[in-house]
Amino acid sequence: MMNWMTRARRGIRTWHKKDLPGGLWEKCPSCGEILYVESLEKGMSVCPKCFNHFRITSDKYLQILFDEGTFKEMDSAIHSSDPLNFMDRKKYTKRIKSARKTTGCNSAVLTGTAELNGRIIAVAIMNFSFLGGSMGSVVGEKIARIAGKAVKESLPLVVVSASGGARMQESILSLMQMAKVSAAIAALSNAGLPFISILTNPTTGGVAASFAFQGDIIIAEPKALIGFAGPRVIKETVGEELPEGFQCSEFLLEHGMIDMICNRKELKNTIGFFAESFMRNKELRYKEESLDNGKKTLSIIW
Amino acid sequence: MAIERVGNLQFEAPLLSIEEKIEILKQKGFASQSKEIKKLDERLRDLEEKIYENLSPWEEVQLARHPDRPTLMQYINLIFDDFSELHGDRLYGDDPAIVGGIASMGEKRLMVVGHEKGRNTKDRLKHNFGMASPEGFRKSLRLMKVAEKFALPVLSFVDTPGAYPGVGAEERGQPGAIAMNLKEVFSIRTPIVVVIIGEGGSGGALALGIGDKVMMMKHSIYSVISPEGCAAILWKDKKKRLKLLQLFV
Ligand SMILES: [Zn+2]
Repeated sequence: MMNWMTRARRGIRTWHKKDLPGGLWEKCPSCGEILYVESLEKGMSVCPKCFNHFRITSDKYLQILFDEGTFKEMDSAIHSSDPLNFMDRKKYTKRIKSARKTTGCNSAVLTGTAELNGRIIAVAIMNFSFLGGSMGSVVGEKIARIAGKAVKESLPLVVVSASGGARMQESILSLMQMAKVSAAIAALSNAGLPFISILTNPTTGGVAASFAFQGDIIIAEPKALIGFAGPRVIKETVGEELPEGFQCSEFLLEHGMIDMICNRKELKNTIGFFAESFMRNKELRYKEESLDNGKKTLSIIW
Repeated sequence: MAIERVGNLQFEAPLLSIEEKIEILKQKGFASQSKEIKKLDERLRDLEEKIYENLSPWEEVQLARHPDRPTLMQYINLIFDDFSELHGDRLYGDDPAIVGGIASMGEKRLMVVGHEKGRNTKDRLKHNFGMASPEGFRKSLRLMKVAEKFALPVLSFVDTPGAYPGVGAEERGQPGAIAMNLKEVFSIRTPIVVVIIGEGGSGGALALGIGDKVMMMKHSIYSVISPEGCAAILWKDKKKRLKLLQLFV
């Protein structure tokens, strides 16, 4: 297991259902409240007492953010190989195999198109439970492809990030994903299409330092850990003590790094509002242009 | 029992006394359509016209800064159906002296930016009395560029005594931030409508004041600097400074 997955620190902790009897109850890691799993899930996995946002899978985000039954997955079969024949405490191939088995996914990101209040959106949702949502060649490739699809079909792009950063086991190949995805986001931006980036707990390292912070609008879930070097890395490398609330969403908002913090329950309508606001006038413009039949005047373009 | 009016300006005293009389009558059970109250109402309106049409320059300044004047957030709440605030300059901080976000007006969507002075003492401190720091100007420019990218018109509200004159603001490049706004806003291709809603003081106002249409609300002011600032520059001696201000009164 990677250290940062088991580390018992604010918000970064993974809770094991087996600690509680029957799996019917779950303890809120933030306030200690014992919650009935079924009602917790109905409430979008937000603690009703302290509003702690539990980490949820990419499938759950699909349910929460998009219109039912509208998701069309892309590139679902691509999965990682092990070009470097990498081994730390375990062989990388074994890690991939067990991650695929436990999550039922082939990679740490789910991509495709889905409708949000009737509008088609290009979507990528990361899955933290797949090797800590780390970005290797497959994650990078899938996000670059979905951004490419957005350009081709003039769709807004929404990416929900949940990642510890670049995947160590793919070394330089992982590092280059940051550049590859950025190129795809630049193309999207040059096409004048909106990219709405959603940061969830945690969004750090090479993911934060590439597409996650390239959004036209950047929205974070409350109390998510967001930063470049994680708290442990900072402590161990420069020996600095970290102030309370350091690198949480609220800290980032105060420091001007994100546009807003949004509760999970309002996330769908918030994304919908921005997608609509950013696409509407552009589409009007295109309509008026095609009416003019060949006459390409800039006069109606703001 | 007195009428709740924060800003008791001297020239408004006669108005206040009539308003109080009306309030007393109402409490005694007079209907607002009663002859007595109607008469007072009429007197109030006549007097209002007389007073506000004949203000001295200094009184105009006071009126532009009137604590009861609506501020940006009230305009936003009254004009738009929906407003989603966007924060931060993506560099250093989020300046509450400048508020911006996407607003909807029926089917229309637009970007709104402006100075927020705050409504009460606590609120004013939070918004730093509408005096922006470099972060505020950079946020405003960032949002205008978002607006341009997605073909949204921009509505800019100006209401500030001036850019914040503080050490931190200088350290983070106050003049450069204003200068950048002035230059870059001229390249924004979406339409920009500017309204001076209260005080338009100096470069801090102009930084949000470049547009295709520039309007001023009645009894608002727009100047190279606040009268106090001007006096401080022209008269280093504090006593003589008063003289300049008295010229206005
Ligand atoms: Zn809780």
